[in-house]
Amino acid sequence: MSDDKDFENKVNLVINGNDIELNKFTDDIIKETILGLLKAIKTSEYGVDEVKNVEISIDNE
Amino acid sequence: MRIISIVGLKNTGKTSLTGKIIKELTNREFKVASIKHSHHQMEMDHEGTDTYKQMEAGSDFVVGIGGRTYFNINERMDLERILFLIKLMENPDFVVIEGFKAYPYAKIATCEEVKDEYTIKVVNSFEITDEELLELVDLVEERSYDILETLFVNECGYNDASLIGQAFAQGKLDYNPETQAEVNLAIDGVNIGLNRFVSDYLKQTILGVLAPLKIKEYGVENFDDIDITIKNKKE
Repeated sequence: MSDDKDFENKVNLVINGNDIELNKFTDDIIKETILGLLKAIKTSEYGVDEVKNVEISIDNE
Repeated sequence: MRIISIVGLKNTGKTSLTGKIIKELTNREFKVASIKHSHHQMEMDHEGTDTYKQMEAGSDFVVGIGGRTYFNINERMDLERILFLIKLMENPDFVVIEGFKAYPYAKIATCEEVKDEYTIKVVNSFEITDEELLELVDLVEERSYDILETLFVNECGYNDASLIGQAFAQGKLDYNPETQAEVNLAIDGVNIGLNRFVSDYLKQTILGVLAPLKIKEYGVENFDDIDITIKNKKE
């Protein structure tokens, strides 16, 4: 359950087709970790200068 | 996921050949998605249906759910974006495309005029025998490949995805789906290429971050497929 009722998720997480609810802390951790990792990728080579929306899918089977 | 296009001039049997290839791939127990490209206005819905009325009323994204589910999006989408979304939603073994001859994916040409560096074979769709069809689908299995930005190889001289795709299509390099990246990334709707190292790094870091989550409360036992979207646009 969200511990901050005004909090709006920035991260949407689905595992094996199931929506996983994230509280503010986990939402922030996942978002900032991934955005931090993505800073090292040369996205400008793809015409992307500012990261506004990120979509990641991982096949771990 | 591997992509094969059937391309050619009008009335050269593209639709018929596309259907035969889809059928043979499903006979081989592959999961198949398909795309039809047309330069003309095309509607999968029709006037009078409830979903048509929703679109006419102004809905930009209509989903019809019944025995089947279909999406009707009032927007012209780029093929690369469509392929990413197909992979995200269904992750089929093959995507068979009728049309899109200008795109850098393995192609079967139904006439010589559209042959290019990505063509794996030129066939006469009206005269192809059953045996030739089987050989053609064997070739599709060997030479077709995934979304362009996901292609990376260790061989020297291949650091451009288009060149890698051409090499796969021409049989100069062997495409091994097992060696391709397990992470697919799009930023602002643009597919971003990840080599094996970066893919592994992202994957393991994200799995580490997700490990403490109480996923069992959601009926999830393990981390087989993970989809994450992040909204980072400043309001």
